Amino acid sequence: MPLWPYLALSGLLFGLGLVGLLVRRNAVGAVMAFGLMVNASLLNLAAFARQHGDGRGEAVAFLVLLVAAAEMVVGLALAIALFRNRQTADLDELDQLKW
Amino acid sequence: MEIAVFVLLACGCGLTGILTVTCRKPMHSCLYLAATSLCVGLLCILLAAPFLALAQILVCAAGIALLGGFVCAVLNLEEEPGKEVLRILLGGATGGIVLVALGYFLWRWWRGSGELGTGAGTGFSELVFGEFLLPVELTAFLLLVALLGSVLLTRREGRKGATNAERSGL
Repeated sequence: MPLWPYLALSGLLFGLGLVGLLVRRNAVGAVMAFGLMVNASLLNLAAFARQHGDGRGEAVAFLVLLVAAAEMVVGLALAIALFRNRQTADLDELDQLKW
Repeated sequence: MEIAVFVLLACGCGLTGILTVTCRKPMHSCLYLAATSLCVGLLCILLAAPFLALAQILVCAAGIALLGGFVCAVLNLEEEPGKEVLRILLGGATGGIVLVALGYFLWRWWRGSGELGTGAGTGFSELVFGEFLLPVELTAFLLLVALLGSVLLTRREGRKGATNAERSGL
């Protein structure tokens, strides 16, 4: 089995996540799209770890997984805080610091 | 056989990934992300990384999906209103440019990158508890900080006599 299908799949997932992060207005949806991007990077690391026969890739992928978990927990907590303060989870509402 | 399983899982990944991004309701989006994570975890088994697969399925497919579903249920988010054309165009164009660039790099350099090896075998725990001990401990600390931060962010300043339900109510 060659390496490139894995890279193509993870590239596709990363692109999809990026589009979701840019397009979605809902805070929860944006966090989910970010999770998609993290999944893509994890798949990439695992594929390269297998190709090089080096367990360090897997270890880094494990760390990426844990950091992604922390990020998503804080992101969802931010969504809840936003909803409490603004009664909406629309990211466009967060524009106080814009101008 | 391996290629057949890969094609099946890749189709699952792509389909659920697209649905994650295109679904209007956050709850559906969350469940599709769980399905994508499950597919990625199964692909990790295919990549001879069983521990990573297990952690991925437990943390992302189970934990994060549960958390996301809980948040969606608590917030009772409504369907997003119709998205603007400009936003979709700009987001789609950015994603398309990134995809084309990635595809170009893939075609140019990585198509001839050869076959997958046999994998690293056993040695993961030695790495995690040896060479990677400091990063793992730092990540554990980060998880602790994330836990405290999320509790602080979602905590509501309650009145003295407020009941627990009032304090946690939205």
